Amino acid sequence: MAIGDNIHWDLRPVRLEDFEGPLDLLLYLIDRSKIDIKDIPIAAITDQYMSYLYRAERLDVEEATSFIVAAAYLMQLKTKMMLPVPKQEEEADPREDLARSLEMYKRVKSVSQMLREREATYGGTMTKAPEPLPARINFSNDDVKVKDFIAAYQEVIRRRQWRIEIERKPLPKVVKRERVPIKRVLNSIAAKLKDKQKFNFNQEFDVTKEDKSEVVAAFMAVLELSRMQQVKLQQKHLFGDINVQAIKADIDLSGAGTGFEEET
Amino acid sequence: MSKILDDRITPAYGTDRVSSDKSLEQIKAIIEALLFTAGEPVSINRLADTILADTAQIEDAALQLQLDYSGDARGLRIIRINNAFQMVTDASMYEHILQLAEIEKRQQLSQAAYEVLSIVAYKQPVIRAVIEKIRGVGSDSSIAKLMERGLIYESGRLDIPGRPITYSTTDEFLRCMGYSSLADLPPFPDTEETPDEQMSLTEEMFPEAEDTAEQPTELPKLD
Repeated sequence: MAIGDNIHWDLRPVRLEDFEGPLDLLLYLIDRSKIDIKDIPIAAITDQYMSYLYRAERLDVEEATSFIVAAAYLMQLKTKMMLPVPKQEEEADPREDLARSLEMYKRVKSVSQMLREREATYGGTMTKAPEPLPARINFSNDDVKVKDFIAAYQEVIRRRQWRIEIERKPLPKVVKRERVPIKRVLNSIAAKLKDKQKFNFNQEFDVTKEDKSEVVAAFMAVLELSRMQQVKLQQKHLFGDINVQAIKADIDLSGAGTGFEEET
Repeated sequence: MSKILDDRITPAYGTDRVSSDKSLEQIKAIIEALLFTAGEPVSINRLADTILADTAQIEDAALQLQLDYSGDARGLRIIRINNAFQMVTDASMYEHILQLAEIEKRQQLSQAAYEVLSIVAYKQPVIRAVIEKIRGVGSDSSIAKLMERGLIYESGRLDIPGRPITYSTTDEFLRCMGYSSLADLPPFPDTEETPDEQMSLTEEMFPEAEDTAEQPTELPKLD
C-alpha cells in the first residue's frame, strides 16, 4: 500500500473493550503512530481499525454497532479518497469532518481528565442534612373569623369520615388496577371549561366521592393545561380549593405533552 | 403584637431591604448559625430576608466568614455556589470521615461518564444526540448514572421535532468540582470558549444526524 508506508506503525495488540468507542480507538491509533490529525492516511488507518475490529473478543450490541458504523464511514471515506477529483471542482478535503470529530473528542477527553482530578480533590466534601424544623404557620388575628374555624373543623371531619368509610368497606375480592387515560380526562375538562369558563377543582373532582385515580388523572390534566398556558390556576391558601379558569374561550389541546396525546 | 415583631415573623420577601444596624460580626455569627442549620446552600437573598440586612452586607459578611474558615485549623469550609453559601466539610477530611463511619469509599465515575459530564459542562443545555455525536457512541447508561449522582439534570426540552430533553449540570456538580459557578470552569481546551459562549452544536449537527440512516447492507464479520 502506497499511502501510509512512510509511517512507523506501532502494532502492539490492544483490546477493543478498553476503548470508549470508535473515536477513542482511532485517536489512540493516530496518537500512537504520531500521525497529524489533519492529514490522516485513511486507507492505512482503515486497515488498522478493521484488524482490531476483527479481533474483538466481546462487545455488547450498542458498542459493536458504533464500531461498525464507524467502520462503514471509514470505508466510504477510503473510497472517496481513491476517486479522482476533477481539477475544476476544488472540493473540501473529505477527511475534514473526521479530523474535526477527532479533535473535538480529544478535547472532551482532556476535559474529562481535568474533571476527574478536580473531583479527586474536591469531591470529598460532606454536607449536612437540614435540621428538621417544623414549618411555621402564620395566623393574623384579623383575617381568621369564627366561621373559618368551623369550616376547618368540618373539613377535618369530612376527611376523617372518608377514611372511616374506606376502612369500613369490605375489601374487593380481586384488586384490579384501573387505568385512567389522561387524554380522556383532559378532553372532558376542556369541554367543561368551554361550557362554563371556570370551575372549582375540589368540587368537580371530590376525592371523597370519585375514584382516586380519576382525581389524580384530573389533577395531572389540569397541571398540563396550565403548562400549555390554557388555564389559570388559583389556590388562596395551602390545601385550599383550587380554582381553574380558562384563559381563552377555546381550549387548544394541540400542545399536550408526552403521555397526554395517546390513550393507553 | 408589636409592629417590629410582625415584620420579623413575615419575611420581607420582595420589599426593599434596608441596611441593618447590626455589626458585621453579628451578621457573620447569624450567617454561621443559619448555614449550619440549613446544611444546604442558602442564597444571599434568603439570608438578607432572614437577617434583615441588605445583600451587600450579607455578601460582605459571608465572604469574611469564608475567610475565617479557610485556615488549616478548620475542618469546615464555607463555599459559595452561584449566589448561595453553604457550610461543608473540607475535602481533605474525607479520609477521616471514612474511618468514622466505616462507609465505602465513594464510587469513581467511569471514563464514559466523565466524558458525558465534560460535554454537558461545556455545551449545556445539551441534548443526548449531540453528546453521542461528539463521543461517537451511545451514552444512555452514562447519562443515567450522572443523573443518579445528581451531577446533571433534565433542564428542559428543545423546540425541534421529537422535543428532545436537554441536560445541564447541577449545583452538586459545582460542589464536587470545587467551583463556585460555571464561569470558573477553564476555557474549553485549545479554544477561548467558556461555558457562556457555547457553539450552536445542535443546529450544526442535525442535518448530519439524519445521514447516519444510510447503513451498509452487509456488515463485516466480527470474529
